[in-house]
Amino acid sequence: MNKTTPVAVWSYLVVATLLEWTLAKNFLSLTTIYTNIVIAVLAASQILSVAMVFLRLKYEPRGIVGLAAASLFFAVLAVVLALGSIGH
Amino acid sequence: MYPSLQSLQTGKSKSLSAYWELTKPRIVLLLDFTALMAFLVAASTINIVRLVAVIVAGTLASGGVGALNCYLDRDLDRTMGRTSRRPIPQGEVSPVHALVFGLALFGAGIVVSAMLQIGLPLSSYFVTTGIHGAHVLAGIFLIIYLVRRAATGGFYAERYGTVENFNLYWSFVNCVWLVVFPLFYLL
Repeated sequence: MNKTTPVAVWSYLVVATLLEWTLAKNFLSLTTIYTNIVIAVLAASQILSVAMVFLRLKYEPRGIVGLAAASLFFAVLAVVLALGSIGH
Repeated sequence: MYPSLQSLQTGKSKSLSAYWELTKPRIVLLLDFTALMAFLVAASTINIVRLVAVIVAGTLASGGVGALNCYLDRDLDRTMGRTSRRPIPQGEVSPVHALVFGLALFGAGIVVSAMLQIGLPLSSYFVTTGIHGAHVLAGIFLIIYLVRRAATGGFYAERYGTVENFNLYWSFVNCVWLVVFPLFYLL
């Protein structure tokens, strides 16, 4: 692994977190869903970068990457459904 | 001479059964039945999640108290025929292990009860962030251990598996935070 890659990923995490925080502080409204989507996409891209570089998924066979992606999808689905059900 | 797999398995199941006996399961069952009846009488509508939480909290707390009772009465238990067959007098569980087991079960029961008091949305927040915090704390202790070991030459080019495993653990904890932060603090 290139020595600059971990630093680049870490920098991206910091920038994306600040961006998420700014979006949530200034543009988040219950009447619009677009800010939520942008924040969710930013969070997903952060997870993807950590998983690919620090969890070494980038160097694994494609089957393993697909398995990890499917697991993540179902995990997020479970969390969202659970939060939705206990919120009402 | 190493013990055979079968004897190890027998020992393990015997140990599990000893811990199970420590909780005095028949008394726990009676207490759960009482709690169930009280819940059904008191509640105007039946909330299954709350009912399960009441039973889990009751089972954990009363099981823990059963184990603590076995610990406190360990000397008396040896002198009576019926109680001398309990796990501590039999030497199947050490008194210290029984004490820790009892306190842990009782503590878990109290935590579940506290969650019932504060409501499910708040308790899900505290459970999620609490578990994540515990993992971060464990990670910090591991970092201190790894730094100390590295300082004494514990790792080198051919031997760094522990560091690599820790990296996987820490990165996974990082991924969890990347979900928890927007979910609870931003959205």
